[in-house]
Amino acid sequence: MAKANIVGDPLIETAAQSSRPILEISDLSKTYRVGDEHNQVLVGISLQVSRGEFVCIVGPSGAGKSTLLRCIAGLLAPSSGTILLDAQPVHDPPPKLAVVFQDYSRSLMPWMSVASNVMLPLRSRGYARSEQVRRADEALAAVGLTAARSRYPWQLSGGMQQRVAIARALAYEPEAMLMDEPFASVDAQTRSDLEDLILRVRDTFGMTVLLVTHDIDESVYLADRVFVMGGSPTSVSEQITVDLPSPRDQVSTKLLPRFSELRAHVMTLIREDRVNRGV
Amino acid sequence: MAFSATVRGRGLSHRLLSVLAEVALPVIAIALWWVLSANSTSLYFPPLSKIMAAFQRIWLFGHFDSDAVPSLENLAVGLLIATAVGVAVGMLLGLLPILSDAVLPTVEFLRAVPGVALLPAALLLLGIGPEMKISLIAYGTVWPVLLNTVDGVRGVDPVAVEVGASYRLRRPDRLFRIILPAASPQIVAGMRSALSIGITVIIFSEMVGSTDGIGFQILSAQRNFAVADMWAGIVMLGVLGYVLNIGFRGLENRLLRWHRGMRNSAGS
Repeated sequence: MAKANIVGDPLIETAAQSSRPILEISDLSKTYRVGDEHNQVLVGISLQVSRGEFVCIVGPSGAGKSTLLRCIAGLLAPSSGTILLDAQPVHDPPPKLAVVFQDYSRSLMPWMSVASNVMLPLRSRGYARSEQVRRADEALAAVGLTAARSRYPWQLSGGMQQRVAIARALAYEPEAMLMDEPFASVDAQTRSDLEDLILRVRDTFGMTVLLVTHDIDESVYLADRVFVMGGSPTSVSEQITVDLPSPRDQVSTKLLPRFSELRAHVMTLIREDRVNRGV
Repeated sequence: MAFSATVRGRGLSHRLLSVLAEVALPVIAIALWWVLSANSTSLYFPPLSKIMAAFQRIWLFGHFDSDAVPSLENLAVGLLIATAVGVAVGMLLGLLPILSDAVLPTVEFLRAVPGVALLPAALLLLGIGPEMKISLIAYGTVWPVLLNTVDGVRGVDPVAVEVGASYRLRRPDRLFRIILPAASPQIVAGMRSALSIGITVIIFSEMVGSTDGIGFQILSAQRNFAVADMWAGIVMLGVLGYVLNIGFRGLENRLLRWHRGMRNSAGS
Protein backbone atom coordinates (compact mmCIF):
# COMPACT_ATOMS: atom_id res chain seq x y z
CA MET A 1 0.00 0.00 0.00
CA ALA A 2 2.82 2.36 0.81
CA LYS A 3 4.06 2.00 -2.74
CA ALA A 4 0.83 3.17 -4.30
CA ASN A 5 1.28 6.77 -3.21
CA ILE A 6 4.49 7.04 -5.21
CA VAL A 7 2.34 7.67 -8.27
CA GLY A 8 -0.22 9.70 -6.34
CA ASP A 9 -3.16 7.32 -6.10
CA PRO A 10 -3.40 6.00 -9.64
CA LEU A 11 -6.68 4.19 -9.00
CA ILE A 12 -8.64 7.36 -8.40
CA GLU A 13 -7.10 9.13 -11.37
CA THR A 14 -7.75 6.14 -13.60
CA ALA A 15 -11.39 6.03 -12.62
CA ALA A 16 -11.88 9.74 -13.24
CA GLN A 17 -10.19 9.95 -16.63
CA SER A 18 -10.46 6.44 -18.00
CA SER A 19 -12.68 7.52 -20.85
CA ARG A 20 -9.88 9.31 -22.66
CA PRO A 21 -6.70 7.55 -23.89
CA ILE A 22 -3.57 8.76 -22.14
CA LEU A 23 -1.68 8.94 -25.43
CA GLU A 24 -3.17 9.91 -28.78
CA ILE A 25 -0.99 10.15 -31.86
CA SER A 26 -2.58 11.24 -35.11
CA ASP A 27 -1.03 11.22 -38.55
CA LEU A 28 2.51 11.70 -37.32
CA SER A 29 5.31 11.95 -39.87
CA LYS A 30 8.99 12.58 -39.48
CA THR A 31 11.37 13.58 -42.22
CA TYR A 32 15.08 14.12 -41.61
CA ARG A 33 16.69 16.71 -43.78
CA VAL A 34 20.37 16.27 -44.48
CA GLY A 35 21.47 19.00 -46.88
CA ASP A 36 19.16 18.70 -49.90
CA GLU A 37 18.21 15.12 -49.13
CA HIS A 38 14.89 14.39 -47.50
CA ASN A 39 14.75 11.12 -45.68
CA GLN A 40 11.23 10.27 -44.63
CA VAL A 41 11.39 7.89 -41.70
CA LEU A 42 7.85 7.80 -40.33
CA VAL A 43 4.61 8.41 -42.19
CA GLY A 44 0.97 8.60 -41.12
CA ILE A 45 1.38 7.06 -37.68
CA SER A 46 -1.84 7.05 -35.69
CA LEU A 47 -2.24 5.16 -32.46
CA GLN A 48 -3.89 5.39 -29.09
CA VAL A 49 -2.82 4.01 -25.75
CA SER A 50 -5.24 3.59 -22.87
CA ARG A 51 -4.44 4.45 -19.31
CA GLY A 52 -2.66 1.59 -17.55
CA GLU A 53 -2.05 -0.30 -20.75
CA PHE A 54 1.24 -2.05 -21.59
CA VAL A 55 2.00 -1.44 -25.24
CA CYS A 56 4.93 -2.73 -27.24
CA ILE A 57 6.09 -1.28 -30.51
CA VAL A 58 7.92 -3.93 -32.47
CA GLY A 59 9.64 -3.67 -35.80
CA PRO A 60 12.91 -4.35 -37.55
CA SER A 61 16.06 -2.47 -36.60
CA GLY A 62 16.35 0.89 -38.31
CA ALA A 63 12.58 1.17 -38.83
CA GLY A 64 12.33 4.43 -36.88
CA LYS A 65 10.92 2.97 -33.66
CA SER A 66 13.29 5.04 -31.57
CA THR A 67 12.44 8.13 -33.62
CA LEU A 68 8.77 7.64 -32.76
CA LEU A 69 9.60 7.19 -29.08
CA ARG A 70 11.75 10.31 -29.06
CA CYS A 71 8.88 12.28 -30.62
CA ILE A 72 6.50 11.05 -27.90
CA ALA A 73 9.11 11.94 -25.25
CA GLY A 74 9.21 15.49 -26.56
CA LEU A 75 12.90 15.18 -27.41
CA LEU A 76 12.31 15.42 -31.15
CA ALA A 77 9.75 17.50 -33.03
CA PRO A 78 7.63 15.57 -35.58
CA SER A 79 7.49 17.00 -39.10
CA SER A 80 3.70 16.84 -39.07
CA GLY A 81 0.88 15.37 -37.03
CA THR A 82 0.02 15.72 -33.37
CA ILE A 83 0.85 13.93 -30.15
CA LEU A 84 -1.49 14.38 -27.19
CA LEU A 85 -0.45 13.14 -23.77
CA ASP A 86 -3.26 13.44 -21.26
CA ALA A 87 -5.03 15.67 -23.81
CA GLN A 88 -2.07 18.07 -23.80
CA PRO A 89 -0.07 18.55 -27.02
CA VAL A 90 3.56 17.44 -26.61
CA HIS A 91 6.05 20.12 -27.60
CA ASP A 92 8.78 19.53 -25.04
CA PRO A 93 9.31 16.71 -22.53
CA PRO A 94 6.05 16.27 -20.60
CA PRO A 95 6.22 16.24 -16.81
CA LYS A 96 4.15 13.06 -16.49
CA LEU A 97 6.45 11.00 -18.63
CA ALA A 98 9.61 9.12 -17.72
CA VAL A 99 12.04 7.66 -20.24
CA VAL A 100 14.24 4.59 -19.75
CA PHE A 101 16.98 4.72 -22.35
CA GLN A 102 18.54 1.73 -24.04
CA ASP A 103 22.10 2.31 -22.99
CA TYR A 104 22.18 2.42 -19.20
CA SER A 105 25.94 3.02 -19.15
CA ARG A 106 25.30 6.36 -20.86
CA SER A 107 21.99 7.34 -19.27
CA LEU A 108 23.22 7.03 -15.67
CA MET A 109 25.64 9.66 -14.43
CA PRO A 110 28.89 7.87 -13.50
CA TRP A 111 29.94 10.69 -11.13
CA MET A 112 26.88 10.17 -8.94
CA SER A 113 25.98 7.37 -6.57
CA VAL A 114 23.00 5.18 -7.37
CA ALA A 115 20.82 7.12 -4.93
CA SER A 116 21.93 10.50 -6.32
CA ASN A 117 21.10 9.34 -9.82
CA VAL A 118 17.59 8.43 -8.72
CA MET A 119 17.20 11.72 -6.81
CA LEU A 120 18.49 13.96 -9.60
CA PRO A 121 15.09 14.61 -11.22
CA LEU A 122 13.45 14.99 -7.79
CA ARG A 123 15.96 17.62 -6.78
CA SER A 124 15.05 19.64 -9.87
CA ARG A 125 11.40 19.36 -8.90
CA GLY A 126 12.23 21.20 -5.70
CA TYR A 127 11.43 18.41 -3.24
CA ALA A 128 13.00 18.71 0.19
CA ARG A 129 16.06 16.56 0.68
CA SER A 130 14.28 14.19 3.09
CA GLU A 131 11.49 13.72 0.56
CA GLN A 132 13.99 13.00 -2.22
CA VAL A 133 15.66 10.37 -0.05
CA ARG A 134 12.34 8.78 0.90
CA ARG A 135 11.15 8.50 -2.69
CA ALA A 136 14.50 7.24 -3.95
CA ASP A 137 14.59 4.59 -1.22
CA GLU A 138 11.08 3.45 -2.14
CA ALA A 139 11.92 3.25 -5.82
CA LEU A 140 15.18 1.40 -5.17
CA ALA A 141 13.34 -1.03 -2.92
CA ALA A 142 10.82 -1.65 -5.69
CA VAL A 143 13.61 -2.80 -8.02
CA GLY A 144 15.46 -4.67 -5.27
CA LEU A 145 18.48 -2.39 -5.10
CA THR A 146 18.29 -0.99 -1.57
CA ALA A 147 21.72 -2.38 -0.75
CA ALA A 148 23.35 -0.64 -3.73
CA ARG A 149 22.17 2.87 -2.95
CA SER A 150 25.56 4.36 -2.16
CA ARG A 151 27.53 2.55 -4.82
CA TYR A 152 28.42 3.97 -8.22
CA PRO A 153 26.61 2.71 -11.34
CA TRP A 154 29.83 1.41 -12.88
CA GLN A 155 30.33 -0.83 -9.85
CA LEU A 156 27.14 -2.70 -10.77
CA SER A 157 26.32 -5.30 -13.41
CA GLY A 158 24.48 -4.25 -16.56
CA GLY A 159 21.15 -5.61 -15.35
CA MET A 160 21.50 -3.79 -12.03
CA GLN A 161 22.34 -0.55 -13.83
CA GLN A 162 19.20 -0.78 -15.92
CA ARG A 163 17.25 -1.39 -12.69
CA VAL A 164 18.71 1.86 -11.36
CA ALA A 165 17.44 3.60 -14.50
CA ILE A 166 14.01 2.04 -13.91
CA ALA A 167 14.10 3.19 -10.27
CA ARG A 168 14.91 6.70 -11.45
CA ALA A 169 11.86 6.58 -13.70
CA LEU A 170 9.63 5.22 -10.89
CA ALA A 171 10.75 7.84 -8.37
CA TYR A 172 9.75 10.48 -10.92
CA GLU A 173 6.14 9.29 -10.45
CA PRO A 174 5.22 9.23 -14.11
CA GLU A 175 1.81 8.34 -15.45
CA ALA A 176 3.48 6.80 -18.44
CA MET A 177 6.87 5.23 -18.91
CA LEU A 178 8.64 5.08 -22.27
CA MET A 179 11.26 2.40 -22.69
CA ASP A 180 13.61 2.34 -25.67
CA GLU A 181 14.94 -1.21 -26.18
CA PRO A 182 15.61 -1.28 -22.44
CA PHE A 183 16.81 -4.89 -22.27
CA ALA A 184 18.77 -5.04 -25.52
CA SER A 185 22.22 -4.93 -23.94
CA VAL A 186 21.91 -7.50 -21.14
CA ASP A 187 22.30 -11.27 -21.22
CA ALA A 188 19.31 -13.56 -21.76
CA GLN A 189 18.76 -14.59 -18.14
CA THR A 190 18.96 -11.00 -16.88
CA ARG A 191 16.67 -10.02 -19.69
CA SER A 192 13.83 -12.28 -18.62
CA ASP A 193 14.34 -11.20 -14.99
CA LEU A 194 14.03 -7.56 -16.05
CA GLU A 195 10.95 -8.33 -18.16
CA ASP A 196 9.24 -9.81 -15.11
CA LEU A 197 10.43 -6.92 -12.97
CA ILE A 198 8.85 -4.38 -15.29
CA LEU A 199 5.56 -6.33 -15.39
CA ARG A 200 5.51 -6.47 -11.59
CA VAL A 201 6.38 -2.79 -11.22
CA ARG A 202 3.70 -1.84 -13.71
CA ASP A 203 1.10 -3.76 -11.69
CA THR A 204 2.25 -2.21 -8.41
CA PHE A 205 2.36 1.34 -9.68
CA GLY A 206 -0.49 1.07 -12.14
CA MET A 207 1.16 3.09 -14.85
CA THR A 208 1.08 3.04 -18.61
CA VAL A 209 4.12 1.52 -20.32
CA LEU A 210 5.15 1.98 -23.92
CA LEU A 211 8.11 -0.22 -24.79
CA VAL A 212 10.00 -0.28 -28.06
CA THR A 213 11.73 -3.52 -29.01
CA HIS A 214 12.93 -5.51 -31.99
CA ASP A 215 12.41 -8.75 -30.07
CA ILE A 216 9.12 -10.37 -31.13
CA ASP A 217 8.93 -12.80 -28.18
CA GLU A 218 9.51 -9.99 -25.76
CA SER A 219 6.77 -7.85 -27.30
CA VAL A 220 4.19 -10.64 -27.16
CA TYR A 221 5.22 -11.72 -23.66
CA LEU A 222 5.00 -8.25 -22.16
CA ALA A 223 2.26 -6.40 -23.95
CA ASP A 224 -1.48 -5.99 -23.72
CA ARG A 225 -1.27 -4.72 -27.26
CA VAL A 226 1.48 -4.90 -29.88
CA PHE A 227 1.92 -2.35 -32.65
CA VAL A 228 3.87 -3.85 -35.54
CA MET A 229 5.78 -1.29 -37.55
CA GLY A 230 6.74 -1.78 -41.16
CA GLY A 231 6.99 -0.33 -44.64
CA SER A 232 9.31 2.30 -45.95
CA PRO A 233 8.81 4.98 -44.72
CA THR A 234 7.59 3.24 -41.62
CA SER A 235 4.01 3.19 -40.44
CA VAL A 236 1.93 0.98 -38.15
CA SER A 237 1.16 -2.10 -40.24
CA GLU A 238 -1.03 -3.83 -37.67
CA GLN A 239 -2.06 -3.70 -34.07
CA ILE A 240 -2.58 -6.93 -32.22
CA THR A 241 -4.39 -7.42 -28.94
CA VAL A 242 -2.50 -9.93 -26.85
CA ASP A 243 -5.17 -12.05 -25.19
CA LEU A 244 -2.84 -13.99 -22.94
CA PRO A 245 -3.75 -14.47 -19.28
CA SER A 246 -2.15 -12.36 -16.59
CA PRO A 247 0.08 -12.59 -14.66
CA ARG A 248 2.49 -13.74 -17.32
CA ASP A 249 5.09 -16.39 -16.59
CA GLN A 250 8.33 -16.94 -18.48
CA VAL A 251 7.70 -20.70 -18.71
CA SER A 252 3.98 -21.33 -18.68
CA THR A 253 2.91 -18.32 -20.75
CA LYS A 254 5.43 -19.13 -23.44
CA LEU A 255 4.17 -22.75 -23.55
CA LEU A 256 0.63 -21.63 -24.41
CA PRO A 257 -0.43 -22.38 -28.01
CA ARG A 258 -1.83 -18.85 -28.18
CA PHE A 259 1.61 -17.42 -27.43
CA SER A 260 3.07 -19.35 -30.38
CA GLU A 261 0.22 -18.21 -32.64
CA LEU A 262 0.67 -14.54 -31.76
CA ARG A 263 4.41 -14.82 -32.05
CA ALA A 264 4.13 -16.52 -35.46
CA HIS A 265 1.68 -13.85 -36.60
CA VAL A 266 3.99 -10.97 -35.69
CA MET A 267 6.95 -12.78 -37.19
CA THR A 268 5.08 -13.32 -40.47
CA LEU A 269 4.17 -9.64 -40.66
CA ILE A 270 7.76 -8.59 -40.16
CA ARG A 271 9.07 -11.16 -42.64
CA GLU A 272 6.59 -10.08 -45.33
CA ASP A 273 7.60 -6.51 -44.72
CA ARG A 274 11.25 -7.39 -45.22
CA VAL A 275 10.41 -9.12 -48.51
CA ASN A 276 8.34 -6.16 -49.69
CA ARG A 277 11.11 -3.74 -48.91
CA GLY A 278 13.61 -6.01 -50.63
CA VAL A 279 15.85 -6.21 -47.58
CA MET B 1 41.86 -16.42 6.96
CA ALA B 2 45.11 -17.83 5.66
CA PHE B 3 44.08 -16.80 2.16
CA SER B 4 43.33 -13.20 3.03
CA ALA B 5 46.59 -12.97 4.96
CA THR B 6 48.63 -14.04 1.94
CA VAL B 7 46.77 -11.62 -0.32
CA ARG B 8 47.40 -8.79 2.08
CA GLY B 9 51.02 -9.78 2.48
CA ARG B 10 51.50 -9.78 -1.25
CA GLY B 11 49.72 -6.42 -1.59
CA LEU B 12 52.01 -4.90 0.99
CA SER B 13 55.23 -6.21 -0.51
CA HIS B 14 54.02 -5.12 -3.95
CA ARG B 15 53.46 -1.58 -2.68
CA LEU B 16 56.83 -1.56 -0.96
CA LEU B 17 58.44 -2.66 -4.20
CA SER B 18 56.75 0.07 -6.24
CA VAL B 19 57.78 2.74 -3.71
CA LEU B 20 61.36 1.43 -3.84
CA ALA B 21 61.32 1.52 -7.64
CA GLU B 22 60.10 5.09 -7.56
CA VAL B 23 62.72 6.23 -5.09
CA ALA B 24 65.70 4.29 -6.49
CA LEU B 25 66.62 6.51 -9.44
CA PRO B 26 66.53 9.85 -7.58
CA VAL B 27 68.57 8.38 -4.71
CA ILE B 28 71.19 7.01 -7.10
CA ALA B 29 71.32 10.31 -9.03
CA ILE B 30 71.75 12.38 -5.86
CA ALA B 31 74.39 9.99 -4.50
CA LEU B 32 76.32 10.19 -7.77
CA TRP B 33 76.04 13.98 -7.79
CA TRP B 34 77.24 14.09 -4.20
CA VAL B 35 80.26 11.83 -4.81
CA LEU B 36 81.31 13.23 -8.20
CA SER B 37 81.04 16.86 -7.11
CA ALA B 38 82.62 16.34 -3.67
CA ASN B 39 86.06 17.58 -4.67
CA SER B 40 84.86 19.98 -7.36
CA THR B 41 86.77 23.24 -7.51
CA SER B 42 84.79 24.51 -10.50
CA LEU B 43 83.25 27.91 -9.89
CA TYR B 44 80.08 26.85 -11.73
CA PHE B 45 79.58 23.40 -10.26
CA PRO B 46 80.19 23.63 -6.53
CA PRO B 47 80.05 20.44 -4.42
CA LEU B 48 76.53 19.32 -3.65
CA SER B 49 77.34 19.61 0.05
CA LYS B 50 77.83 23.36 -0.42
CA ILE B 51 74.62 23.67 -2.41
CA MET B 52 72.72 21.84 0.32
CA ALA B 53 74.27 24.07 2.96
CA ALA B 54 73.10 27.10 0.97
CA PHE B 55 69.71 25.50 0.51
CA GLN B 56 69.37 25.01 4.23
CA ARG B 57 70.54 28.55 5.01
CA ILE B 58 68.24 30.25 2.46
CA TRP B 59 65.16 28.07 2.19
CA LEU B 60 64.91 26.34 5.62
CA PHE B 61 63.52 28.79 6.39
CA GLY B 62 65.37 32.11 6.21
CA HIS B 63 63.93 33.32 2.92
CA PHE B 64 61.02 30.92 2.70
CA ASP B 65 58.49 33.41 4.04
CA SER B 66 59.87 36.38 2.14
CA ASP B 67 60.48 34.68 -1.22
CA ALA B 68 58.81 31.30 -1.64
CA VAL B 69 55.51 32.22 -0.01
CA PRO B 70 54.80 35.25 -2.26
CA SER B 71 55.65 33.17 -5.35
CA LEU B 72 53.22 30.48 -4.28
CA GLU B 73 50.54 32.99 -3.36
CA ASN B 74 50.74 34.74 -6.70
CA LEU B 75 50.72 31.41 -8.49
CA ALA B 76 47.67 30.24 -6.54
CA VAL B 77 45.69 33.44 -7.09
CA GLY B 78 46.61 33.55 -10.79
CA LEU B 79 45.61 29.93 -11.33
CA LEU B 80 42.39 30.42 -9.41
CA ILE B 81 41.41 33.35 -11.60
CA ALA B 82 42.39 31.47 -14.76
CA THR B 83 40.35 28.43 -13.72
CA ALA B 84 37.27 30.46 -12.80
CA VAL B 85 37.37 32.54 -16.00
CA GLY B 86 38.43 29.63 -18.20
CA VAL B 87 35.69 27.29 -16.98
CA ALA B 88 32.95 29.96 -17.06
CA VAL B 89 33.81 31.28 -20.52
CA GLY B 90 34.62 27.79 -21.79
CA MET B 91 31.20 26.47 -20.76
CA LEU B 92 29.51 29.42 -22.43
CA LEU B 93 31.46 28.88 -25.65
CA GLY B 94 30.98 25.13 -25.52
CA LEU B 95 27.22 25.51 -25.20
CA LEU B 96 26.75 28.30 -27.75
CA PRO B 97 28.27 27.27 -31.11
CA ILE B 98 27.55 30.68 -32.67
CA LEU B 99 29.41 32.47 -29.91
CA SER B 100 32.35 30.09 -30.13
CA ASP B 101 32.50 30.55 -33.93
CA ALA B 102 32.79 34.27 -33.27
CA VAL B 103 35.29 34.10 -30.43
CA LEU B 104 37.53 31.05 -30.88
CA PRO B 105 39.67 32.38 -33.75
CA THR B 106 40.56 35.37 -31.59
CA VAL B 107 41.26 33.05 -28.67
CA GLU B 108 43.63 31.05 -30.86
CA PHE B 109 45.49 34.25 -31.73
CA LEU B 110 45.74 35.45 -28.13
CA ARG B 111 46.84 32.03 -27.00
CA ALA B 112 49.66 32.07 -29.52
CA VAL B 113 51.20 35.05 -27.71
CA PRO B 114 53.10 33.48 -24.81
CA GLY B 115 52.36 35.03 -21.44
CA VAL B 116 56.02 35.85 -20.89
CA ALA B 117 56.10 37.89 -24.12
CA LEU B 118 53.70 40.33 -22.53
CA LEU B 119 55.99 40.92 -19.56
CA PRO B 120 57.45 44.23 -20.82
CA ALA B 121 53.96 45.59 -21.43
CA ALA B 122 52.74 44.28 -18.08
CA LEU B 123 55.69 45.97 -16.35
CA LEU B 124 54.76 49.29 -17.95
CA LEU B 125 51.07 49.02 -17.17
CA LEU B 126 51.08 47.34 -13.78
CA GLY B 127 54.56 47.87 -12.29
CA ILE B 128 56.46 45.15 -10.42
CA GLY B 129 53.91 44.35 -7.73
CA PRO B 130 51.93 41.16 -7.28
CA GLU B 131 49.12 42.50 -9.52
CA MET B 132 51.44 42.33 -12.51
CA LYS B 133 52.52 38.74 -11.75
CA ILE B 134 49.02 37.55 -11.00
CA SER B 135 47.69 39.11 -14.22
CA LEU B 136 50.47 37.56 -16.24
CA ILE B 137 49.92 34.12 -14.70
CA ALA B 138 46.18 34.36 -15.21
CA TYR B 139 46.69 35.40 -18.82
CA GLY B 140 49.23 32.67 -19.51
CA THR B 141 47.22 29.87 -17.95
CA VAL B 142 43.64 30.71 -18.88
CA TRP B 143 43.90 29.29 -22.41
CA PRO B 144 44.45 25.60 -21.72
CA VAL B 145 41.64 25.68 -19.15
CA LEU B 146 39.30 27.54 -21.50
CA LEU B 147 39.95 25.46 -24.60
CA ASN B 148 39.79 22.17 -22.70
CA THR B 149 36.50 23.25 -21.14
CA VAL B 150 35.08 24.03 -24.60
CA ASP B 151 36.19 20.59 -25.82
CA GLY B 152 34.87 18.89 -22.71
CA VAL B 153 31.47 20.58 -22.93
CA ARG B 154 31.14 19.79 -26.64
CA GLY B 155 32.04 16.20 -25.94
CA VAL B 156 29.33 15.60 -23.32
CA ASP B 157 27.40 12.47 -24.21
CA PRO B 158 24.14 13.47 -25.94
CA VAL B 159 22.33 10.72 -24.01
CA ALA B 160 23.23 12.42 -20.71
CA VAL B 161 21.90 15.70 -22.12
CA GLU B 162 18.68 13.96 -23.21
CA VAL B 163 18.25 12.51 -19.72
CA GLY B 164 18.47 16.05 -18.38
CA ALA B 165 15.89 17.23 -20.91
CA SER B 166 13.43 14.36 -20.56
CA TYR B 167 13.43 14.59 -16.75
CA ARG B 168 12.97 18.33 -17.00
CA LEU B 169 16.01 19.23 -14.94
CA ARG B 170 16.35 22.89 -14.06
CA ARG B 171 19.04 24.75 -15.95
CA PRO B 172 21.46 25.00 -12.98
CA ASP B 173 21.14 21.26 -12.40
CA ARG B 174 21.81 20.55 -16.07
CA LEU B 175 24.87 22.81 -16.00
CA PHE B 176 26.40 21.82 -12.69
CA ARG B 177 25.21 18.23 -12.24
CA ILE B 178 25.52 16.97 -15.79
CA ILE B 179 27.58 19.13 -18.12
CA LEU B 180 30.27 20.35 -15.72
CA PRO B 181 31.02 16.94 -14.17
CA ALA B 182 30.92 15.29 -17.60
CA ALA B 183 33.49 17.81 -18.84
CA SER B 184 35.58 17.68 -15.68
CA PRO B 185 38.19 15.14 -16.84
CA GLN B 186 39.16 17.45 -19.67
CA ILE B 187 38.95 20.56 -17.49
CA VAL B 188 41.33 18.98 -15.00
CA ALA B 189 43.72 18.05 -17.82
CA GLY B 190 43.66 21.73 -18.83
CA MET B 191 44.41 22.75 -15.26
CA ARG B 192 47.38 20.41 -15.24
CA SER B 193 48.94 22.19 -18.23
CA ALA B 194 47.99 25.51 -16.64
CA LEU B 195 49.97 24.59 -13.52
CA SER B 196 53.19 23.95 -15.42
CA ILE B 197 52.75 27.10 -17.54
CA GLY B 198 52.02 29.04 -14.36
CA ILE B 199 55.28 27.94 -12.72
CA THR B 200 57.24 29.08 -15.78
CA VAL B 201 55.49 32.45 -15.90
CA ILE B 202 55.89 33.17 -12.18
CA ILE B 203 59.64 32.41 -12.17
CA PHE B 204 60.24 34.42 -15.31
CA SER B 205 58.28 37.41 -14.08
CA GLU B 206 60.23 37.32 -10.82
CA MET B 207 63.54 37.20 -12.64
CA VAL B 208 62.75 40.20 -14.79
CA GLY B 209 60.54 42.46 -12.76
CA SER B 210 60.58 41.81 -9.06
CA THR B 211 62.24 42.42 -5.71
CA ASP B 212 61.30 39.12 -4.18
CA GLY B 213 60.38 35.56 -5.12
CA ILE B 214 62.30 32.40 -5.96
CA GLY B 215 63.08 33.61 -9.47
CA PHE B 216 64.46 36.85 -8.07
CA GLN B 217 66.62 34.93 -5.58
CA ILE B 218 68.06 32.69 -8.29
CA LEU B 219 68.93 35.54 -10.62
CA SER B 220 70.37 37.83 -7.95
CA ALA B 221 72.51 34.98 -6.60
CA GLN B 222 73.86 34.41 -10.10
CA ARG B 223 74.63 38.12 -10.54
CA ASN B 224 76.54 38.11 -7.24
CA PHE B 225 78.51 35.02 -8.27
CA ALA B 226 76.92 33.17 -5.33
CA VAL B 227 76.76 30.08 -7.50
CA ALA B 228 75.89 27.67 -4.69
CA ASP B 229 72.98 29.95 -3.74
CA MET B 230 71.83 29.96 -7.36
CA TRP B 231 71.82 26.15 -7.50
CA ALA B 232 70.07 26.06 -4.14
CA GLY B 233 67.29 28.21 -5.63
CA ILE B 234 67.02 25.90 -8.62
CA VAL B 235 66.81 22.87 -6.30
CA MET B 236 64.10 24.70 -4.36
CA LEU B 237 62.16 25.18 -7.60
CA GLY B 238 62.46 21.51 -8.41
CA VAL B 239 61.24 20.52 -4.98
CA LEU B 240 58.32 22.95 -5.13
CA GLY B 241 57.33 21.83 -8.61
CA TYR B 242 57.38 18.22 -7.47
CA VAL B 243 55.32 18.94 -4.36
CA LEU B 244 52.80 20.98 -6.37
CA ASN B 245 52.43 18.12 -8.82
CA ILE B 246 51.80 15.63 -6.04
CA GLY B 247 49.24 18.00 -4.55
CA PHE B 248 47.56 18.35 -7.91
CA ARG B 249 47.50 14.60 -8.39
CA GLY B 250 45.78 14.30 -5.03
CA LEU B 251 43.16 16.83 -6.09
CA GLU B 252 42.70 15.01 -9.37
CA ASN B 253 42.25 11.67 -7.63
CA ARG B 254 39.55 13.16 -5.45
CA LEU B 255 37.70 14.97 -8.22
CA LEU B 256 37.94 12.23 -10.81
CA ARG B 257 37.69 9.12 -8.69
CA TRP B 258 34.53 8.17 -10.60
CA HIS B 259 36.30 8.58 -13.93
CA ARG B 260 39.16 6.28 -13.04
CA GLY B 261 36.79 3.76 -11.50
CA MET B 262 34.58 3.80 -14.58
CA ARG B 263 37.52 3.28 -16.93
CA ASN B 264 38.89 0.46 -14.81
CA SER B 265 35.54 -1.29 -14.68
CA ALA B 266 35.07 -0.90 -18.44
CA GLY B 267 38.47 -2.44 -19.04
CA SER B 268 37.84 -5.47 -16.88
